[in-house]
Amino acid sequence: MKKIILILFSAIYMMSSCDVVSKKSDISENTNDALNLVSYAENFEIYPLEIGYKLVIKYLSSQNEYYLLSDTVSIPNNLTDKTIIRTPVKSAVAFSSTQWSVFQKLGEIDKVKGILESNYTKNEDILELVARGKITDVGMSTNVNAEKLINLHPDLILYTPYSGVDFSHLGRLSGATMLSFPDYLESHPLGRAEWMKVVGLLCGKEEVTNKWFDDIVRRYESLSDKCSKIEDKPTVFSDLPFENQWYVPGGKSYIAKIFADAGGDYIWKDNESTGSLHIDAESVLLKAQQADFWRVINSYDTPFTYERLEKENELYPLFKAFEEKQLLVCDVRETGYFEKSQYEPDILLADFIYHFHPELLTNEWENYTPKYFKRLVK
Amino acid sequence: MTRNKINISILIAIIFLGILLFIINLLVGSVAIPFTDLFDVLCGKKSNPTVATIVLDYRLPQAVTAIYAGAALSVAGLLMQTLFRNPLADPSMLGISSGAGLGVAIIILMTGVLGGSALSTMGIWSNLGVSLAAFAGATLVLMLILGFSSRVRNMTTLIIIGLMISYLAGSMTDIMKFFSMKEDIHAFVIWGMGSYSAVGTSKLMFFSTSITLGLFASLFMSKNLNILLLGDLYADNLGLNVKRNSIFIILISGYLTAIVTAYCGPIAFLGLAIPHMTRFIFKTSDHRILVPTVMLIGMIVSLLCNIIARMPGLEGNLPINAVTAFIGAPVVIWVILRKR
Repeated sequence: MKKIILILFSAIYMMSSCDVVSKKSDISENTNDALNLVSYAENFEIYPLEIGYKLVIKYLSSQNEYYLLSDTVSIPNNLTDKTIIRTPVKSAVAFSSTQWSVFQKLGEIDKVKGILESNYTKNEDILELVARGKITDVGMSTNVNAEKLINLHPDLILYTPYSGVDFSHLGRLSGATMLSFPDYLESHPLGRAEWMKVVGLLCGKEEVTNKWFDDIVRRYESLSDKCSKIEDKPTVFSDLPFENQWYVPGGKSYIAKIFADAGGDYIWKDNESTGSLHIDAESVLLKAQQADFWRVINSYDTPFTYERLEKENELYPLFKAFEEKQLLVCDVRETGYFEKSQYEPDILLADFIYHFHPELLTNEWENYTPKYFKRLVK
Repeated sequence: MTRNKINISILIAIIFLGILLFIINLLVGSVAIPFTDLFDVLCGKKSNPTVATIVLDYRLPQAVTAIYAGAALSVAGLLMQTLFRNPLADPSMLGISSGAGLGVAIIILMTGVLGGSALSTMGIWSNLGVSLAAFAGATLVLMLILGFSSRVRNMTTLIIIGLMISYLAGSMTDIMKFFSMKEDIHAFVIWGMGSYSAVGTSKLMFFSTSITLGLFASLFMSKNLNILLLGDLYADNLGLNVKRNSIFIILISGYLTAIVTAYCGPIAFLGLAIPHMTRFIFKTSDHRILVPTVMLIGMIVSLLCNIIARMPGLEGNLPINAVTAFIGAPVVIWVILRKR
C-alpha cells in the first residue's frame, strides 16, 4: 500500500514538475572546449547557450561561472541557482581603466556609473563625466569607498582580483554581481586584447567586439609573420628604475612577446616569469649596457629629454641605447597608454617594428607613424 | 570637591561624549545622510533601503569595531606600560604587530610565488585568510616572547628581545615583498593601512566576543597590576607570583593586540597614547580605576579617529593608522609637558 501511495505521489510530482518545465524548459550546457569562443586569452572562456552565453572566469586556481541572458528571456529552471547577469547591463562600476575604456569605445560609457582612481586618467571625456557627476569616483583599489559604491546601486561591479584581497563584501553591501576581470594575468598580447569580448557580451554588442578582435588578430599575425623570418634581431630592454629599484618585464610577459614578435631580441627573454622581475642595477648594467633599444614609459606630466634623464640618474649615459639616442618612449598622458594600448596590440607591434625593422612595414602599414612608442630624439 | 567626585563627573561627561561620537559615526560619511533619515533607520521605520544599508551594514559595524579595537589596544598598552614600568611600552613593542604583518606577508606573497593556490580562492579561507595569517603570526611571536620571559628575569631585557623580534619580522616581511610581484603586494598594502571596515557584520560577533573575553581578563588583573607597581620585591613579599603574573599580563595584552591587528591591521599609537591621557585626566595610578577608564577613553578616541578618517570632505577613507598617530602624538607631547 505504502509503495502505491509513493508511486502515486511521485507521479503527481513528476507531472507537476513537467508542467513547469514546459513553461521554462531547461537548457543544455555544453562546455566542450571546441565550443569555446575564446582563442588567445587563458583566463576566461565563453560558451554559447541557446538563449545567451556562459562566461567562465578563471583566477589562479578558482573559477567563477556567469550566465549572461538577455533581459527579455526568462531564467530556465536549471539556472535558477546560478549567477545570472542580465544583458545589456544597465549600470556598472568598473575598477580598472582597461574595463571602462571598452565601454567607452563601444559608445556605452553611460552604463558606467562609477570608476576608481579617476585622478590617474588623462582621458578628457571621462574626466568631464566625473566633473559633471555622471560618473562617480569611488576611491582607490586599495581603499574603495563602500558608501559611495552602495549609493550608486550598480547591477554589476567589474573588479580586478588580487591575491589575498577580498572584495566580496562590496557585492553583498551594494547588491551588485561581482565580476572578476583578471586581464592583467594574460601573457599573450592578443589574450589581453581579447578581454574586450567580455565587455562586448555585457553590453550585448558581442558581434562588434568579435569583429574588432578578429581584425586585430589578422593584423597582428600578418605583421608577426613578416618578422618571424628575420635573422638580424636588435637587442632591447625595458623600463627605468623606480626609486633605484629596477623592475623589468619577465621573459614570458606580454611585453616580451611583443618584442619577440616585432623581430627584437629581449635581453631577459630566457626568464620564465610572466610578471615583473626585480633586478639590481649591476645586473642591469651587465646585461643591458650594449642593448640597441631601450623601451621607456613616461608617466610624468613633463616630457623627457636626454639631458633631464641624465640629471636623474648618472648610470643612464653608460647605456649604449642612451648614448645612441635609441630610447623608445611612450608618453602615458598623451597616448592614454594604460587604458587603450591593451586593446591595440597590433599597433603596439607596429610601433616596435617601425623602430626595429622599418622596411617590413609594407602594404596597409606603409607611411605608418608610431602611436605609442616614439624615438626620443632630443 | 574631592578627587572622587571630580572623577565621577568627568566620567559622566565622557560617557555622554562617547554616545555623541557614536551617533556622529553613524551620521558622517562620504554619502550625506540627513539626521531624520538616520533616526528612521535606527527606529526601524520604513526608509530608503540604500540609507539603511549604509547605516546598518556599513557604518554601524565599523563604529562597533572602532569601539572594541580602541578599548582592546588601549588596555593592551596599559598592561605593557605597567608590566615593563616603561612609559613608552606599547603592544607593538614586543613585536606582536610585526609578527602579524609577517603572517600576512607570508600567506599573501608566498601564495603568489607558489602560484596556482591563491589564498583568496580557498572558499572559507578567502574571508578568514588574511586575519588568520595575521593572528598566527602574532601568536607565534607572542609564544616566543613568553618563552623568553620565563628565561629572563629583567623586563628591560625582554623589551630588547621584543624589539629585536620586531625588527626580524619586519625585515623578513620586507625581503618577501622584495621578491614578490607588484600585484601581490596589493593585499599587504591594504592590510597595512589599517581599517575598521574590514570586520563587517559577518565577523563582528566573533571579533567582539573574543575582545570582550580579553577585556574581562584584564579587569580581573587590576589588583595585581597595582601590586606590580610597587616593584617585584614588594610584590613577592605580598605573596604575588610575579613570574606567573607577568606571563598572564603578556598573554592578555598579546591576545588583544593579535585579534585587533588580525582584523583591522596594525593600528599605531592608541596603545601608547591612551594610558597617558587617562592617567592625566583621572589623576590616578590605581588600576581598578585605570583599566576601565582606559577602555572607555580608548573607545572614544578610536571613534573620534574613525570620524576624522571618514570626514565628508576627504574623498575616500584615510587610513586609520595615519589618523591615530596624528591625534595621538600631539596629545602625548602635551600631557608630558603639563606633567613637569
